[in-house]
Amino acid sequence: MSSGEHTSLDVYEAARAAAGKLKLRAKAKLADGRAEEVFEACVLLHEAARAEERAVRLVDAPLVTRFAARVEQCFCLVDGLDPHGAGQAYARLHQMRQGMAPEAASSLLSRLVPRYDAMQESYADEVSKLRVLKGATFRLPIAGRGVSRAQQEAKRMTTRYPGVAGWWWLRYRLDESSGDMHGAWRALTRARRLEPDQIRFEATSLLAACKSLSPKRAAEYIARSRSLLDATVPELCLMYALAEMQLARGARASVRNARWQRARDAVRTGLSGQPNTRLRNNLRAVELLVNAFLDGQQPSVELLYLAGLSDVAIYASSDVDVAEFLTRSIANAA
Amino acid sequence: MAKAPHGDTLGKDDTAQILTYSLEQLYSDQDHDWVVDSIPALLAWVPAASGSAHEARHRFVLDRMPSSGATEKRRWLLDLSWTESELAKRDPNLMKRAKRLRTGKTVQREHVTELAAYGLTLVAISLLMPGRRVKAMNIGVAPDFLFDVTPSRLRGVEAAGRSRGGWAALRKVSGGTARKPGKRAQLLARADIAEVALSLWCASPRLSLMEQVKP
Repeated sequence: MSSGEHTSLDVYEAARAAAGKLKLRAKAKLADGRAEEVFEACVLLHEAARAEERAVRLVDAPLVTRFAARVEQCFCLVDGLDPHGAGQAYARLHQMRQGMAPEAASSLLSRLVPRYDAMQESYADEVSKLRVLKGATFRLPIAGRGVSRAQQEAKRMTTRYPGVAGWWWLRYRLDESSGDMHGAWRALTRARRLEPDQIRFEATSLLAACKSLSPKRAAEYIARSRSLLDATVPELCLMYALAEMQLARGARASVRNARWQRARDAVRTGLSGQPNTRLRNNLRAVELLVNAFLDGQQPSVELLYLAGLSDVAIYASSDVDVAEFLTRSIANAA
Repeated sequence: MAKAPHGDTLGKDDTAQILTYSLEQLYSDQDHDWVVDSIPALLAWVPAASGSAHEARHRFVLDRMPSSGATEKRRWLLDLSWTESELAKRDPNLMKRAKRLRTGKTVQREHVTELAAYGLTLVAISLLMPGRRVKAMNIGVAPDFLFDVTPSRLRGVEAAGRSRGGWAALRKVSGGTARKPGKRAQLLARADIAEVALSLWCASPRLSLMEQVKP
C-alpha cells in the first residue's frame, strides 16, 4: 500500500470514528427517553448519517463497503426518528442491491429491514389519523380556526417523529401565522439543527429572527450570517436583505442607511449568481426598494411590476406599505 | 488485582479460571468517548450484587469459544468490580446518569440493554484481546465495534445483551432458530469481514459468551 493510500485510510478511519462516537452518544440520549434528550439524539444521528456518507467517499470503496455505509446511514435515520430521510436512503439501497451477492446483501440488511418496516408501518398509521393536515406534506393550506387544530396535529407528529425536519418546519409556519413567535422560532431552530444544509430553513431564520428575537439579539443573529452570503446562495441573500430592511425600521438615520446599503449589497451578490426567474424577480424588487429608500423616496406598487412581480402586485392596494407587503409575500412563499 | 494474561491458566480448576477487571481501567484501555456513553447503562443494567453502595463486585460466568469451529469452550469467571469514587474521578456525571437510567420514568429499557452490552463488550475486548482498541462503531450493520475499518478486511466484535434467558438466550442469538439465522451465520456470510467475534451478555443470570466466528 502506498503512503497516499495509508493517508486516505487514516483519514477514513478518523471519519468513521467521529461518526461512531456521534451514534453512541445518541444511543445514550435515546435511552434517557426525555423529549429534549430524544430530540438531541435525532440531531446527533442525522449528523452521523451525513458523516458516514462523507466518510465512504474518502476511500476507493468496493460496492459492499458503499452498500454497508448506506445501510448505516439509513439505520441512523430510523433510530433518528425520520421516516422521510430513512425512506430516501432505503430507496437508494434498493438501487444498489442489484450488484450485490444475495447472501451478503441479506446479511447486511438483517438488522435494518425489520426496524425500517416497523417504523414505516407506524408512520403510515400516524399519518392516516391526520384530518386537517391530511395530504399537506409540510405546506400550509389552512387558515383561521383550522390553524389551532393543525397545530395540535403537527405537535403530535413532532412528538412521535422529532427527527422529521419537515414537521418542525410546518409547526414554524403554523405558529408564525397564529402569532406565537416564540414557538415559531423554537420549531424553526429544530428544523435547522436537523438539516443544517437546507438553505430554505437558514434563509427563513433571518427574517424570523426579526420577529422572534429582541432587536439586539436579532441584529447579532443577522450580522453572523453576513459571512455566508455569496452568489451560490441567492435565497440567503434575499432573506438577509429583507431582514436588514426590517431592522432598519425605526432606526436612526445613520443606522438605517447602513442597513439599506448592506441590503443592497446582499441583493446584488444574489443577482450575480444567476438565480432562477422567481428569485431574480424578488431580488430585483428588493433592490428597487432599497434604492428608493436610499434616494429618500417612497416606493410604490409600480416597482413590483418593474421587477416582474405582477402576480404579487395585483393583490396590493394603492396605499400598501410596499416593503412590508413584499416581505410578507416572499416569506409566505418560502 | 492483575488481569490474567491471555491464554494462561490460573489456579487448579481448569474449568473455572478467574479473571478480574476494575471498571476504572476501561477508561485507559479504550477511547474515553466509547466508555463514557456506555458505562452508565452498564451500571444501571447489571443487577445488584455484593459490595457496598460505593463499591461493587459482579461475577459473570464467561464461556469462550477461542476459534471458529471449536467444539470445546473455555470457562472463566469474570469478576467485574468498581469503586464509585474512582469512577467519578474519570466521569463526574457517571453516577447521576446511571441513577437516571435505573429509575427514570421515561427510560427506554431496550436502549439501556443495548448500551450495557456495548460497555461489557468493551470490557471483554480489553480483557481477552489485550491491546486491541476500538476504532469505529456501527449501529446498523455488524460488527458493532471495529478494530480495523479497511474496506473488505473489517475486524471487530459484534455485541448483544439479554436481560434474561441464560445460556439458551445467548445460544439463540448466536445460532438462530430454524426460521431465522443467528448472528454467527450472518457474520460468516460477510466476505468483507476478515476477523470477528461475538460478545454476548445476560444480566440475570450473569453469563457471557465470547465466540470467535472468523477466522
